[in-house]
Amino acid sequence: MFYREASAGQIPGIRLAAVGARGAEYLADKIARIEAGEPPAGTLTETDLELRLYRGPARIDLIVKDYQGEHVALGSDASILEFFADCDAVLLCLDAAGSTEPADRRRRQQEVEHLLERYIGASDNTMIGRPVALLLTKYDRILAAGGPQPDRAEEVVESRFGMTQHALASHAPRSAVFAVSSYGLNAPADGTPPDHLEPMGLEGPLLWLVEQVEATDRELLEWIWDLAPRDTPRIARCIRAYARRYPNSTKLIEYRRRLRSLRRRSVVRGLVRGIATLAALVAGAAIYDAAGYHLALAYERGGHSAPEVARRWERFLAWHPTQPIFWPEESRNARVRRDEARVEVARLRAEVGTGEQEALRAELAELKERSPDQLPVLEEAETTLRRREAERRWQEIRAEALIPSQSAEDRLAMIQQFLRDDPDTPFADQAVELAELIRKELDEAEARRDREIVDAWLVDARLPDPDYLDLIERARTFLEARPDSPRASEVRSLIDEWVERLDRRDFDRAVAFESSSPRQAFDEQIRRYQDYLRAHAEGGSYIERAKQAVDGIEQRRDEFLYRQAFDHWSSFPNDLPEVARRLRDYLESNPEGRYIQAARTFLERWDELTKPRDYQVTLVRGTVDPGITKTMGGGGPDLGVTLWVGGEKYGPSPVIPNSTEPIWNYTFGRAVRWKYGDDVVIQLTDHDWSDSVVATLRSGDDPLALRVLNGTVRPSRSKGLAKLVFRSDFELPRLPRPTGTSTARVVDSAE
Amino acid sequence: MWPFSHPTIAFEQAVYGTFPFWHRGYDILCSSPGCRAPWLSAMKETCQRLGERLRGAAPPGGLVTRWLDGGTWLVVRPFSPGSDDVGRPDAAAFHALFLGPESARRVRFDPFRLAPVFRVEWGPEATDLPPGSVTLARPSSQDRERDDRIDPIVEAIGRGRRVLIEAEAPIDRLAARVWRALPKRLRHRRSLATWAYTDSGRFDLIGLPRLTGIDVSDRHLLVLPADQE
Repeated sequence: MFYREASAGQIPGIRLAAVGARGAEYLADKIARIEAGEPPAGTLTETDLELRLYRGPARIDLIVKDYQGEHVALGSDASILEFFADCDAVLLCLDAAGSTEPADRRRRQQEVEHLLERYIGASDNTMIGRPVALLLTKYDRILAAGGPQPDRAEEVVESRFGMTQHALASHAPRSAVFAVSSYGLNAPADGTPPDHLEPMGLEGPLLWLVEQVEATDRELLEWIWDLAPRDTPRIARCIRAYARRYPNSTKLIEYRRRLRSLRRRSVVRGLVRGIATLAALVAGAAIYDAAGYHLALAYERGGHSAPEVARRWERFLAWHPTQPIFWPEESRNARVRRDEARVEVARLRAEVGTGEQEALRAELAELKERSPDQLPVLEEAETTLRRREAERRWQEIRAEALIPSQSAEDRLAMIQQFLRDDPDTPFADQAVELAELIRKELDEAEARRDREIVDAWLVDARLPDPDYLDLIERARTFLEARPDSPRASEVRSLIDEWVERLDRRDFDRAVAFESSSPRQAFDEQIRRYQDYLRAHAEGGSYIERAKQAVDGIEQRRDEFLYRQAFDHWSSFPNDLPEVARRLRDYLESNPEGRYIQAARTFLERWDELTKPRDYQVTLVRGTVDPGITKTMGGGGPDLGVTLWVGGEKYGPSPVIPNSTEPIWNYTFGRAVRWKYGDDVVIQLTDHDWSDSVVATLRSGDDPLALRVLNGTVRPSRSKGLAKLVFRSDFELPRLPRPTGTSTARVVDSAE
Repeated sequence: MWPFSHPTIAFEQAVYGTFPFWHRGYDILCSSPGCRAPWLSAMKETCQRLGERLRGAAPPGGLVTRWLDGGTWLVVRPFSPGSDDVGRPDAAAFHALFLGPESARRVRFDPFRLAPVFRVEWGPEATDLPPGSVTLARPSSQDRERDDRIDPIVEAIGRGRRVLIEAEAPIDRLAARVWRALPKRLRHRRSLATWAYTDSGRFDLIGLPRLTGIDVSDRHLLVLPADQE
C-alpha cells in the first residue's frame, strides 16, 4: 500500500518506484487484489522488492522483503533474520486491533524484543544503532472502536504494547510511533478491503524513513571524517556514495568544499614533507661523505700498509658517490691519495713478484694515464716487472731444456719468442747457445727420420712386384718437402733407378702378354703396348720398340682378319653373305689395311648380286649323243634351248636342224634378270617331228645359279650324253689371295 | 514383473501448508515417523519456491518432483485448502511423498504413477501420519495423440537445458508424456513442477502462468507458449 500511494503521488514530496520487473508484477498483483476487494493471501514465498524512494534531492534504493510471519516467530532461525541484521532502518508493524489476549500480544512483542536484542548484541553499546519506527497497523479499527486519534497513537502503544515502547525508549534514541491503515475508515469489519480505499497515515513512516536514512548517512560521513580526517581517498569514496544517493543535496556542496580543502592541505603537507625529507637526505649525505673522508684519512695516517690504504680509499669512493657534489676538493684529494696508494701497491707487487703479471701490467698502464706525476715510480715498477718476468721465463726455458715436456720445435719457438720479447735480456747469450743445441737436436732428428723413411722405401722396393709408381711419388714428395735433406741425392738416384725399372717392367709385361696371349687378342696386345707408351711417353727406353710391336700386331691383325674372309670364301664359295660379313669386320677393324681395296671391290660386287640385274646370256653351242635324240626326219635331231631364271622364261633359242653338235651363238633377245638366290632351269628340246625334252638342268639350292650360264653345262638327266656351252657377262666376286708369310689357314670358332 | 505381479511401493509422507483450522500460518501439519528433518526442510523450501498464486491464475495443483541428497525422491502434490487461519484466501498446502532409491526405481521414476496416493482433504485430526505404501496398477495405455512439443522438450532436457512452458493450468498431461519419453537415466536426475507461479525453484520442466522476468533469450532455457493443455 505504501507503493500504491507513493507511486501515485498521494504522499506529498514522496515518490516510490519499483525497479525490477518481478517486484513490479508482485506489487501490481497484490494491489489489484486489494482494489478488487479481495484480501491478500498469506505469504508463502519470501520475495525481494527493489524500490527506489525519492524525496526532494534524495534518491534512496530500498530493498524490502515480503516474508512469512512464521519466520520471525520465536525460535525461528530463518534467513530473514540475517537480512534484518544488515537493515539500515526498521519498521515494526504491529496489528493495533489484533488479538485481545495478553498472551498473544506478549508473544508478538517478544518477537520484536528478540529482534531488538539481536541489534543490541551486535552493537558495541546498549543502543540499537539504527532508526526504528513502530507502525500500528489497521488503526482504522481503533478509530472505529472509539480509540484515540492517530496523533495520540502513543497512548495505544502504551496500553497495548508497553513492552515494545519501553524497549524502544531505552535503546532506540531515534524511534517513532505511527498509526497507519491501508483500508481507511470505511473498511468493513470482516477484514476484507472496502470498495474505496482511503489509506491513512502512510506518509508519516515514509517521510520519517527518508529523514532518518539521510541523517544516518550524514552521521556516518561525519563519523568517518572524525575517525580518519586525513584519509582523503576514503572520504572521497564516501562523498561519491553520498552524492549518488543525494545528488542535489545542499549538504553535498559543503562536503565537496571540505573535501577540496582537505585535498589542498594534503598536497601542501605532502610537499612540505617531501622538501623536508629531501633536505634531510642532502644534509645526511653531506655529513656522511665528510665523515667517511676524515675516517679514511685517519686510517691512512694510522700507519696501515699501502694495500690496506688503497682498499680503504677504493671502498670510500665506492660508497660515497655524492662526495664530488658536496666536497669537491676533498673528493679530488681522496682520488689522488687512492692513486698514490695504488702506485705504491703496484711497485711493491712488482718488487716482490706477487700477483698476476698481466693484471699488474694493465694496472700500471692505467695508473700511468691516471697519475702522470707518478711516472718515474711506475716506470721503475715496470722495469722490475719485466726483469722478474724475464727471469721467470728463462727459468721455465731452462727447466724445459733439462726435462723436456714439449717438442724441440716448441722449445725453440719458446726461446725465439723469449728473445723477441726482450732482446736486451741478460740471458740472451745463454738463450742463443741453448737454441743452437736444440737446432742440432732437430737436425739429427730429421736426419734420423729421413733415414728411416728411405730405408722403408728400400724395403718396399725389395718386395716382389713393388709398386714403383707409389715409391716414386713418395720419393718426389719427400724431395719437395725436404730438398736439403742429406739423403736427397740418394733419393734422386733411387727415383732414377725406379723409373728405369718401371720402364723395363712395363715393356716386358707388354711383350710377355703378346707372347702368351692368344694370337687373335690383337686389341689387348696393342692396348698393353699403348699403356706402356702412355705411361712412359716422357722418356721410356722402349718406346720405339713398343711402336714397332704395335705396327707388327696391326699387320698381323690385318692379315688375320682378311685371311678369315678369304679362307671362308675359298672353302664355301656359295656362302657369300658370311664372306661379306667378315670383310666388313675386316674393314671396320683395319680401315688402313692392305686388303681394303680388294675387300671393298668384293663387297661392291656382292651388293650388286643381291639386287636384281640384267645379264646378257649367249647360247654358244652344244653336243648331244645321237642315242638320246630322234632321227626321224633327216640325219639328226632338231635341237633348241629354253631358260627359266627366277621363274621367268627366256627363249626358246633357234632350232638347229639335223645336228647333234649344233652351234647357236645365239644371244637371248631379252636380258636375263637375276639376283642372288634365284634358280635357273635349262631345258634342251628336240623338235624333230615333235617336241621332246632331251635334257633338263636345274640349279637347285645353288644361290649363284646364274654362274651355270657362263661355261659348259652337263645336265645330269642326260647322264653326260648332252653338253651345252653358254657365255654371259655374269662374273663371280673374287678375292685375291693374302700375301702374308703365314699360309696356314685360319680356322675360327664358327667353322 | 508385469503381468505376473504388481509391485508394492513403500514411502514416507508429510503435509505442509496453512489451514483454516489452526493459527500457525505455514507449518508442517503432520509427517510419518520415518521422515527426516533434512527432508522436511527441503520439502518446505521446494514448496516455498513454487511461489504464491497470482491473481487470475489457476489454483495450486499438478505434481512437483525433486531429488534430495542421498537419493531420496521427493514427490509433492500442491493443493489449496481454501482460506488460511485468518480467513485470507488462496491458502496453499502440499502433500509430499519421500521415496527411497529402490522404490523410485520400481516406480521407474515416473511420478504420475503415484497420483492415486495423494490426498487433498486434511483436517485437524491428521496429527499422526503412518508410512504409506501403494500397489502400482498396470500402466495405462499410452497417450498416442501427437504433440509436436514433446520431441524438442525431450531433446532440450537431454542437453541439460531447462524448459519453461507458459500455460493456463497444470501441464500434467504434457509432462507425463515428456517424462515417459525421457530416457530412464535422465528421469533419474531431472526435476519437475507441472504448475508453479515463479521460476525460483529452477525445475528442469515447469509450467508457469506468466513468464514475467524470464529472459527468453537465455540459451540455457527453452520457453514454449501455452498450447493444447
